[in-house]
Amino acid sequence: MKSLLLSSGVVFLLVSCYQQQSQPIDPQRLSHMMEIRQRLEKELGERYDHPVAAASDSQLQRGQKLFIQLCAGCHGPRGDGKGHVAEGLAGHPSDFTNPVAATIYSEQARLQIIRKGVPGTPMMGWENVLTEEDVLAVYGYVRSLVVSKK
Amino acid sequence: MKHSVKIFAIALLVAFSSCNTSTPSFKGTEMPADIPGIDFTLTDQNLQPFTLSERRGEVTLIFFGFTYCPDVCPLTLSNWKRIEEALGADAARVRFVYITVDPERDSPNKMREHLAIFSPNFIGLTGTLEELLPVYSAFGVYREKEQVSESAAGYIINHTARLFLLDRSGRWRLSFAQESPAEDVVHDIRLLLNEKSPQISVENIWSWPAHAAANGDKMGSTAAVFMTVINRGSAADRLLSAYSETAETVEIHETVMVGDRMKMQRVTDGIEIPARGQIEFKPRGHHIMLIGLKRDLQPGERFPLVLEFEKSGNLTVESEVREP
Repeated sequence: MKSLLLSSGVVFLLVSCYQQQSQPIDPQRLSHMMEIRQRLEKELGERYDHPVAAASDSQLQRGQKLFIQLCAGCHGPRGDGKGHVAEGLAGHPSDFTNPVAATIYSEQARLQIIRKGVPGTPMMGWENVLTEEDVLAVYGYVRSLVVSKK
Repeated sequence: MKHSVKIFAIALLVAFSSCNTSTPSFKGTEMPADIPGIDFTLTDQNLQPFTLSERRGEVTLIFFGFTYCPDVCPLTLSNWKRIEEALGADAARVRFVYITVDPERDSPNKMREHLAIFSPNFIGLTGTLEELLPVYSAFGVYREKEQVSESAAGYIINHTARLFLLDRSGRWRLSFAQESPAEDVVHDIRLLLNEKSPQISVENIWSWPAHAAANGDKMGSTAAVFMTVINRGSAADRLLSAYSETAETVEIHETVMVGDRMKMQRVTDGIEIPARGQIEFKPRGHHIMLIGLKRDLQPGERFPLVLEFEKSGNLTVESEVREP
């Protein structure tokens, strides 16, 4: 409970820090993301904060190819959440270019979302389709999409 | 007399004016009228059997897709959502049927989770490949796996992405490009919903055994045919006449009370088969009269009878000869 409060506080601080620089996140969306984060913290336990190794060039290339094939429909070819499928969907696909959104989940959490999907949303789990290696490649590419505005 | 001439003139006018506008202009691509009838039974996302022909009277929209589809399938489903919303109350008379092209991975459970994101009313069908192949071929659906990852399940499926629209009698009438605007599909669904479509079937057809007429005695020998005519459609139809090669003349008769006596008389303007109703042809009621039999009707044999309906056209049925 304590860590929960703490982490929410950290996120709020982060959000307010970034707000002037990038697109603010809709409060309702933010609270939905917080729920997902809490669930993943519980699910992953201490693994939640483990770092993920940087992707190699070949991994990035592989990741880009898979991203265009499997993810771009919803998340957009540039990863900004503006895929042509997205217009009609109930929720809004995550915008990977937004630095605020990118910091709400840990790296392991984002990997887990690629593997398992987000229940109740159009984001499905890809662990049956992609090998673990490919999941890592896709994540490597997704991580590289963040646009930092300085 | 004057009156009836007037009515005739009006009827003619109506007939002509409806001629000009009666071919409704569909937005989708129309299928040829002689396309073979399609029926199948698959399993829906709630593990219930779904048979296409079971609920006649509804327009059916069909798309073939799969849950791991990254683009056209979810795009189509979101478009369906728009179509459903645009139809308003009419949506209750439309079935949205999503059939998997990926039975290996799309279990009913997976279909349920996936479709729930779009609408609780969409029907998701799965089955074994053996069950699905005839359905793909009936709609000319092409499908081909494309491997994207090394795992066994690491593939997507390239497949036909057209929408198919079936009318209320279950006949495949139109197809649309996947990217067709929702308004076009809504437009054609409305046209199909407004079509008058009787759905006639005939059951339990039988007649008494009888002997052929003796030479030269054309009116000598008769037989009666009994049956149940069922109309499952939402518009009434009318049985106009009947024909059988076993008899010189075939007439539709009804039994009426004249005073306190029953009298059989010929029906000249046909018998109405009400919408969602049925008419029983039975002894001492309506029946089909075969007059001047050309041959014997032996117990156990069957002979064809053509029934002409005002809207449904000709229907060939088989009558069984048996003792009452």
